[in-house]
Amino acid sequence: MISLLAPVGLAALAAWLVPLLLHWVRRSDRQIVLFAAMRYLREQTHPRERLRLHEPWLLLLRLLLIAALALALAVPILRGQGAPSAPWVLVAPGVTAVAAHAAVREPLAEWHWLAPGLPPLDASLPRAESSASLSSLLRQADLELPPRAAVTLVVPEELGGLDAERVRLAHAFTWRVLPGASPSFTVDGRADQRVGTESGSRTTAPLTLAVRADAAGEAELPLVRALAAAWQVEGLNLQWDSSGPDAALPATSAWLIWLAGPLPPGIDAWVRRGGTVLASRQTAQDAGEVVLSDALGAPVLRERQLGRGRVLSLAGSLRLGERPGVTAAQSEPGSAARNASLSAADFPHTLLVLMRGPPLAPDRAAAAAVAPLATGHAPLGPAQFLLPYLALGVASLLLAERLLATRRKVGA
Amino acid sequence: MLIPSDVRARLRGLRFASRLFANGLGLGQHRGRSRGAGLEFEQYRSYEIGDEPRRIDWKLYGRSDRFFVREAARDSPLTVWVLLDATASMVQADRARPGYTKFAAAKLLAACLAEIAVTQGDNIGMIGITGDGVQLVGAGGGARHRDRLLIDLDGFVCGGRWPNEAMFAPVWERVAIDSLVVIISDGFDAALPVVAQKLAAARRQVLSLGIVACDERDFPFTGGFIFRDPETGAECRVDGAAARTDFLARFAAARRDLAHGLARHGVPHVEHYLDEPADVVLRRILAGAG
Repeated sequence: MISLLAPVGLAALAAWLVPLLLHWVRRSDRQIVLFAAMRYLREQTHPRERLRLHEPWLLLLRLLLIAALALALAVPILRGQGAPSAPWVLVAPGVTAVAAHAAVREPLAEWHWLAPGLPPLDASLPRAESSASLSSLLRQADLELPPRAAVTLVVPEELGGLDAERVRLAHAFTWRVLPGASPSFTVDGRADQRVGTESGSRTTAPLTLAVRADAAGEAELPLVRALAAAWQVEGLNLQWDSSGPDAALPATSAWLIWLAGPLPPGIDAWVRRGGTVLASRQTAQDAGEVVLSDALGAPVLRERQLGRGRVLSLAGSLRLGERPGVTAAQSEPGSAARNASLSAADFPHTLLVLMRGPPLAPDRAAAAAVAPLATGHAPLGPAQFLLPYLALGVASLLLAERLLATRRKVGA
Repeated sequence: MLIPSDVRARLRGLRFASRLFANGLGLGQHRGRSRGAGLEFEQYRSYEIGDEPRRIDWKLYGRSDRFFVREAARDSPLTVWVLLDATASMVQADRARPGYTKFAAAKLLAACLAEIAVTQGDNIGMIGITGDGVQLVGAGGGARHRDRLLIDLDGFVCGGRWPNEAMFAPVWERVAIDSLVVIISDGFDAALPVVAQKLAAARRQVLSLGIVACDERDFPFTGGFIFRDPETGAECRVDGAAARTDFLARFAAARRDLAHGLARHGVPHVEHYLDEPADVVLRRILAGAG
């Protein structure tokens, strides 16, 4: 089946007018004949305005040449139906290879993971690539598989990685649902540690809240504890880990509260791997987008993305208690307004929302309910570009046109 | 004026013949009106004063006791006049053969007639009728006259429209009673049948040769053309294929009317097509004239 990638290129067929006009013989060169029997002609038989073209074969060649060029502009591709193919079995992560083999009896089939690149089922599933959306993987597989292959899709009961659009497949497919659940992933490929969110609420592992404070940061610890207490009240399962600035960071922790001045490079690397840091007393002014301002409009909290993680920078120190008249407070203009925003009743909740980051889209559903629909048309085979053949045709047409146009005329 | 050799060869069998009495001077091959001493007995008539006594048939006087004069018929030469239509419409030629105009064909026919006439000892003269007047070669006989006539005929030109009646004085002066008149024309001038009719009514035998171009007979035009009338200069845009059927019907009807009109006055009308040899039409018209 031939289809055009850029059908607007066919508008170049308007160039047909040029050779047609060139070849159109004007009627003004009509012959004059001496004819004495003219009186027997009726005056009414005026000549019909018939389109007369000279050198019609040359004109035909030129029209063909223009048509071929217009077709080339329209980028034709050829999609075949392909050869008969062995059936394919695609296994979604969450179902083990053994379970899939046990459930589907297809000895001649091609067994593959439903993962980027469709790795064979014999290989282990590379975890780093498992975060790709299952829906888009299904659509891609639908386009890339041999057109006439029957596809068996083996999916766990609880299917993740879906998007808002129901998947439609052109291939003939079977939807097999086996017990199990898709692993849930964050954008960085780690298992979801975002706690307290709708999707993360089922995670029972406690979240380590690492606090690293230097001597000056000790003064900020009370407020940090108060925040942690408020978050516990909101349902967060926290594990407290307070230490000095040089202490090692826990590998599993996702949240760090840094109360020791500017972030050292080691922390940067940790953040890049996916951590979330709340750092106080950050002086850099370009520390990201302002996410919280005080009543006067001065920025209180900035957020920036760093690798896979995020850094929340607090302009001042994370403490309250400077009363009016205290010199430390007066040294910072606008500190009263900032203090007001820190001591606001909803500040812990606001900060919790910011620490959690943007919520994950709901992407899980019961597999039986989201079985793909059939598109109703046959799957398209791989596209073959026809431009080389067309270029050959254009060249030969051009050659023939030149030969015909410059040949020695018999009568000339 | 060169007659093609094959045509000239075929001309040998052709002869002029006239219904009327030939009245040329001298001896000829046609039945003449003049009587007198001769070989072939014609009639007896009663003696009149002045007849030679030796012409009285004395044996008959012996039987009837009255004087009778024995008369013999004398064969006379015929005088042939060729009346050439030399109006502008005769310049038309076929597209297939552009140089061969109707007038050239008419001259060739006239030359053939001269050849026949001289061969059988008749007198021949030519009159070309153009729009400006009349071109004339007087009647005469003999090879010398024929050569002069052919040279003069070569100088004939055609042009203009059919002249008015006053221009025809030389015709009436020259063309004597009992002579044979061959009119060669294309038949498009309405005055021509009138002239033929007048000549026929005035005791001249008239034959009419119509010259028809193949383009008129076949109308092989397809596509758009501009037709120009050579006499009036009028032009007309015509689509050949569309006009063909109607033109052929009307043209055939017009020619039929012309032939009928001439035949009604005893003038046979025969048509010569530009693509046939000259002797064909001559054979037909001379065979029918006797």
